[in-house]
Amino acid sequence: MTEAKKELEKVKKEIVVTGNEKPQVGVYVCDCGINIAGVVSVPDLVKYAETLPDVAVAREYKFFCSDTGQNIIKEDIQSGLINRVVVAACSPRMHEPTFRLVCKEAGLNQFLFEQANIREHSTWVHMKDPEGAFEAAKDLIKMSVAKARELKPLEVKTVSIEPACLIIGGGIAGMNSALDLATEGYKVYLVERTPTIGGHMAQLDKTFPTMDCSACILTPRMVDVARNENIELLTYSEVVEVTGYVGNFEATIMKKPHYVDQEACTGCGVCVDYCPVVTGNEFDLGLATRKAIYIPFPQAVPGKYTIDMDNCIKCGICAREDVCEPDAIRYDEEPEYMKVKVGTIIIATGWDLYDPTGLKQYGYGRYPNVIDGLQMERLLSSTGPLDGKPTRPSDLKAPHSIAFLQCVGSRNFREGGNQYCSRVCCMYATKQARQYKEKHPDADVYIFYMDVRAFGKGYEEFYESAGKNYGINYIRGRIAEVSEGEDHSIIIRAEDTLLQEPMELKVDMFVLSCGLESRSDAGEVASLVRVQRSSDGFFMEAHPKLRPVDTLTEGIFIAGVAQGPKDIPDSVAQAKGAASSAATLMAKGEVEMEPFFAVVRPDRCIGCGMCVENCTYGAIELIDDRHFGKIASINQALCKGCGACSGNCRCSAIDIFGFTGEQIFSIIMGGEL
Amino acid sequence: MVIEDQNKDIEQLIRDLARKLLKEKEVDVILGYTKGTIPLTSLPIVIDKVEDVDKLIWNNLCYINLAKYLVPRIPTLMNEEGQKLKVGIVSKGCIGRALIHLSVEHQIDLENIKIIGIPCNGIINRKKIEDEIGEREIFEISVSGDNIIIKGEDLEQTLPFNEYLNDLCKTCQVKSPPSIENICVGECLENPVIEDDFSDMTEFDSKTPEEKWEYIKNLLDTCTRCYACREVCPMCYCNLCFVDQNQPVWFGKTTAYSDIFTFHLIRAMHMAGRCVGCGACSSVCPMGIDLNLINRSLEKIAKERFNFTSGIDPEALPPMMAFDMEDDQEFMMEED
Repeated sequence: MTEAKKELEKVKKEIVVTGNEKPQVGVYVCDCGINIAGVVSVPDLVKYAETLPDVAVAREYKFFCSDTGQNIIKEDIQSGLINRVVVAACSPRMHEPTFRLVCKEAGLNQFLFEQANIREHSTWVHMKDPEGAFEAAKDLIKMSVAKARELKPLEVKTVSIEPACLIIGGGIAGMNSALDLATEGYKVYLVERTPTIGGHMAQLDKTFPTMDCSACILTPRMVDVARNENIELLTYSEVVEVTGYVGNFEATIMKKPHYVDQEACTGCGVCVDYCPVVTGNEFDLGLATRKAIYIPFPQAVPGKYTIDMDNCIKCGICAREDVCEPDAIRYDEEPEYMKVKVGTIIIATGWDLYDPTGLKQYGYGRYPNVIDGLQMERLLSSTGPLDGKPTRPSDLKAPHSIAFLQCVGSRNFREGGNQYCSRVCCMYATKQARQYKEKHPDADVYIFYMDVRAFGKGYEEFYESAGKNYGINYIRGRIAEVSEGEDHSIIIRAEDTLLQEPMELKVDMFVLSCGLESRSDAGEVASLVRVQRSSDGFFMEAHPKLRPVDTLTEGIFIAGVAQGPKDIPDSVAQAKGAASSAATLMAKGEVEMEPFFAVVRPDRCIGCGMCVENCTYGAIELIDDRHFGKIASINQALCKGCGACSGNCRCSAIDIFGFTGEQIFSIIMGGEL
Repeated sequence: MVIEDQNKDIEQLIRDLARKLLKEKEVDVILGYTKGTIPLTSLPIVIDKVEDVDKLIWNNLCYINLAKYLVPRIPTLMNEEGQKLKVGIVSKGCIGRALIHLSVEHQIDLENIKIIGIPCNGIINRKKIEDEIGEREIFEISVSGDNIIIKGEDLEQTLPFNEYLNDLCKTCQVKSPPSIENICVGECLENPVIEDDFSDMTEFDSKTPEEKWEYIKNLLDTCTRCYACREVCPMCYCNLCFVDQNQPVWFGKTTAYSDIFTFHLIRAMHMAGRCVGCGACSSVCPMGIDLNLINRSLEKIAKERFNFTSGIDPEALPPMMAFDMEDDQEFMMEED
């Protein structure tokens, strides 16, 4: 067949629906195995559907989402029996696209489809009340049929996609996403709020279970990021505004002042020797000091200096010609703002460590020898403040005994704790215990746990060996409280729940294996880019199983711990997944937009401008129309179809396609107008 | 100064300013009040000649909100070439507020008008007079000293002025229009500060929901849905009011209880943060329904929740127009 003939064939197949002809609704009630049929009588629902106005046919099938089920619907459309489709089955979240495609393939406009959710909204929630469930299912079908009768064909809009991605957060997840996308040829803007990329992984010493050096595997990636010509690295910067929509986001990025000319600075470090201000080093979690002019750690990328203006006394010594030869110090630097246009956004903002200060019984912040897991990591680190020779803070002597407490702030259903498992603490405590034992084989190391969760590849073996080969004592039980003994030793009172007896233990150092939390400012990021968060505070994925890197805002993806606690391999896997999803979208070059946007009825609009100010997306403006005078006009590319304008319009002059006043009203009235 | 003298002064102020504006061609026409044809009324009038200026009057029956005549749905005042006329509008406080709010809602261009500000001394409540007089016919009503003199068939009664005012005139804090540079002439309020304690609302607010329901039910009981309140309201300027829409028909057209209620409650929603408290709706109601408490409630909520009073500041966004993340969310239901 020639192309022209094929085209002709296609045209012939298309069923023209103008919306003015008599609606012929086909109702397809799905058994969903026993999910629906096990609670209500589907044949009775079919019989009921047949009595509804304009219903041409009603059918039952085991699974309408199956090929055979889809074909039943297709045949009815193609035979001209129906011009509206109602599927009474599961949530449209999953299968609305399936059935829309069925309509499309059968030649019917895909928006002449309506789904009645009689599973989640009836047979699942009213499982124990079959009669009630049956009544609810009837109403749901009635409402959908009523709406279907009012449906009008709509056209899908396509918009082009800017082949660039904004990545927020330069930790291991953000870096991996950036590298993948840059290698594929997309422009990447990697925004990191601290002066260096690397994130939390840079603070770690070794990684479980392979015990390879964190910095040794991380720093080459950092250098790759800096060198990649497709990546524009924006460290010490923050995203302050995001506007636009999938394919065409515009982000405003604030470059915070370094007070050091980043071009001119050679990173020689002479200024550090002269700087008189000594302050706590964030990178070493206050276990070491730094100067007011600093780089966070020696391998930082970019390796240029920054002045911490909160602590700088502006003495002017670093600006002296004999100190800074390249003359790079700029005390009067102001923040710079830049705007970038991107098609996709990846959020990889990472995590904060749970702050155990509130758990007074563990003495953190009160006793010098109680530290948290990340501090222990810095003590063990060969690049840390003690060059990898851990000592206890009170007297800088190597402790003979260490106890770790697991699940600090995690799996805690009381106030102030997080209910979820942080997934990494069992393994990092085991790793730290092993590392300490390697350095001090005679030391006594105890780990107090609820139960050890060693779920990853090679994790169980790692944990087994810790007990067997390293002699680490795992004690199942929670610690009731700790107190300080002589010489700042820590006295632990706990219950060994396996032996079912209370115990008291004196150790030299006590490490709290704190869990991971969402960033304290995750809420601000969420409202900035308009994505949801789940109840635990982490960013919410579009579907926990099938769309784990997508958000519900199209074109925005999440990677790493920003989505939920995970270890490095999982973070990297998700980062690569997010990069791949972003690339898939951008590779298509254009994106289809659901045509559910607001439309103005010019004869009703009076141009009061209420909607203009109310539109979060800036999609509405007042125009002077030749016929109607001053009226609202909607930019359909910007409109998200949220309906704020429609709901607020006194004149009912704004309708949302797919949810018009008539359609909503017919749903409420159940077609009984 | 007694009310009678105040009225004379205000009338003189209107006429002087109108004459001046017309003579100096600052405006093409003056929109003001003239004597009504029956007692207890006044009429709006458009004056375009200096000779006619003396037709302009001021008395305590000038209840119409003249701003209504400037909204687009009413045929705009135009010359023969179809150009908009420059209008000088006699403005008591609530007319000034209406003009400002209408400009916020893009309905009028303040540049195109002159506000002739006058210090309003209150509007007589027709319903209260009629309740007092009963069925007897009134021939004439006037103010003498601080009293209202009513003459009619076998009737001559003197009533104290202050007691027969509209309730909202008693709490009104914007007697003159808020001043806008280059637009206002006459007596205007510079930087008005509204310190309303809503003490008149205390009694109503202390009612239980059931009592409030009962009150509103009794209040609206006699409504015939003539829409006089809508027609006179400067804020009711939609092309097609929701009650007249038929795609879909939102609710019934009858005077059944539920339909009357739906009309008044939706109209109240549409007035939230917009009502300027002129009381014209109550003044024109043939059934004597006083919507004052409903309108005051709306004003109170806008003030307490959003610190907004309509028609005071041409730059301030009304609460229903603005989107603010910090808005009070107390009406939201908590997730379990």
